[in-house]
Amino acid sequence: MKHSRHRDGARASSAPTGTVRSLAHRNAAAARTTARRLWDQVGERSRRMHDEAAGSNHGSRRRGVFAAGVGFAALFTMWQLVAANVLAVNFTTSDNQFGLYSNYLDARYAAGFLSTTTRKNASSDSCTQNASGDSANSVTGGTATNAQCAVAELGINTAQLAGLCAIAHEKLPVIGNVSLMIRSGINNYGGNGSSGGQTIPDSYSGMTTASAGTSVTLASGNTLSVSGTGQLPGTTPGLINANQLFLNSNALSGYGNLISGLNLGQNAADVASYAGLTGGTPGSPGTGSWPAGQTAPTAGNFGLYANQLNVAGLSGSTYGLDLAGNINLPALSIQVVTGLKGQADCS
Amino acid sequence: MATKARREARILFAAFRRSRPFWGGLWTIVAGAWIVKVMSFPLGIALNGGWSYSAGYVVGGSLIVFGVVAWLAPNYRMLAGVVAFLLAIAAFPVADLGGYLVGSLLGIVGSSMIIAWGDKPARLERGRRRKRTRAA
Repeated sequence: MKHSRHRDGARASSAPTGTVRSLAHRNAAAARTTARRLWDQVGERSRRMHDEAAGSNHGSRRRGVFAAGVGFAALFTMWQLVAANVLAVNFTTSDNQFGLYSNYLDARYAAGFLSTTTRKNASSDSCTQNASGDSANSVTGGTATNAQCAVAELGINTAQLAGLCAIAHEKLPVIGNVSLMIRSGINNYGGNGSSGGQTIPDSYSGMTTASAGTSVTLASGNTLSVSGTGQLPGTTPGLINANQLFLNSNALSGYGNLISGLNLGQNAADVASYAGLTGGTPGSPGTGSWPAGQTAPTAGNFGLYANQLNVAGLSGSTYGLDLAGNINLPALSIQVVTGLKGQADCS
Repeated sequence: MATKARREARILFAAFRRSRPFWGGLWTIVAGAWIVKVMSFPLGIALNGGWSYSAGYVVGGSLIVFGVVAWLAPNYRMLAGVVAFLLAIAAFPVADLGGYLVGSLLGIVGSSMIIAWGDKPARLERGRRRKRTRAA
């Protein structure tokens, strides 16, 4: 080839094309060889697999039952430890709208500001179907995917709750609507002489403000003992403790009971510092912040801060619950039930 | 032609299923996928938001990986099974109560099946052994 190029000028001028062609030919041949080799390997492997499958009797042996039993026992033990207030768990949710109810929230150092968030599934009228915030596209009576939602970001440094019930709805194929119900706390707060009681009151109307050292009357008629400053004493049965609790909520209602140090309209950029969120010290500006991943509030925007925020009969619609700290869930119960369950089903 | 290809695919799948801990791996993968689904956050938040946001991806993703390892490298099934077993239990305190319990339960069942996978005595032999036990 090289020799002929030197001999013939015309052929020498077309030599680069010939070289490229020959290279392409060689590459194609190499690719074919590699593909054939790979195909042979695949064939060899599947032949081996066939032989293996045909020549032996493989399967899960009975010892698997023993291993599963050990696993279930470990899970049950952890469940008991969580329910007995010994083991704390990480519980973080997002995207799905769910209802959150509690008999009484005793929040120490709480902060909040208004924000927008993108949610996979949203059905609230505080959401739009696009990122432009166009109110004409607000989601009403339907569900939108990747909607922009207006929410109040709430951060609580230390929270104690008397009873907790969270309900999320999901539509599954074949089964239809199912509700996931997570309940914790105890059923009876006693005090009114009745043996039964409700974990969650149906509404907060009719509640009475606690006077120093007395009790809050819940809508169910039961009473809940609180301290002089409206706080839940540590002796409250089934008390739920959480720290660094963050809520992403578009609706919250309840009976504000003995709220102190409330500052509405505080600079949104400062409230996390005042509440000592995410590792900060309460009351020490500059030490706290919102958790990573949370859009920081713009300086000068509306912010909320409270030293003490006690709410009885709390009912909220939230998109996300984030625990930067831990939570203890005594008397924990998780149920998946068919149908769309609501607050009344919590008790 | 299509029937032949389907038949071959079925035979190949049956051979694949019989030569590795298929069902155990499948349940483990389903458990991992469920935990990831329950704790699915935008990737940016999961990367920057700390352990509370990334736990689902880490634990659920690892369960998926070990389920796939049990499929593709059945020789390492014991290692994959034991690690998946521990991950399924660890998912309970770290990943939304193990994906509302479903993920942990499926993971324990799947990984136990992986651990227990191996040569089973032939049915005839099993019958003889049973008779011997009864006679004793």
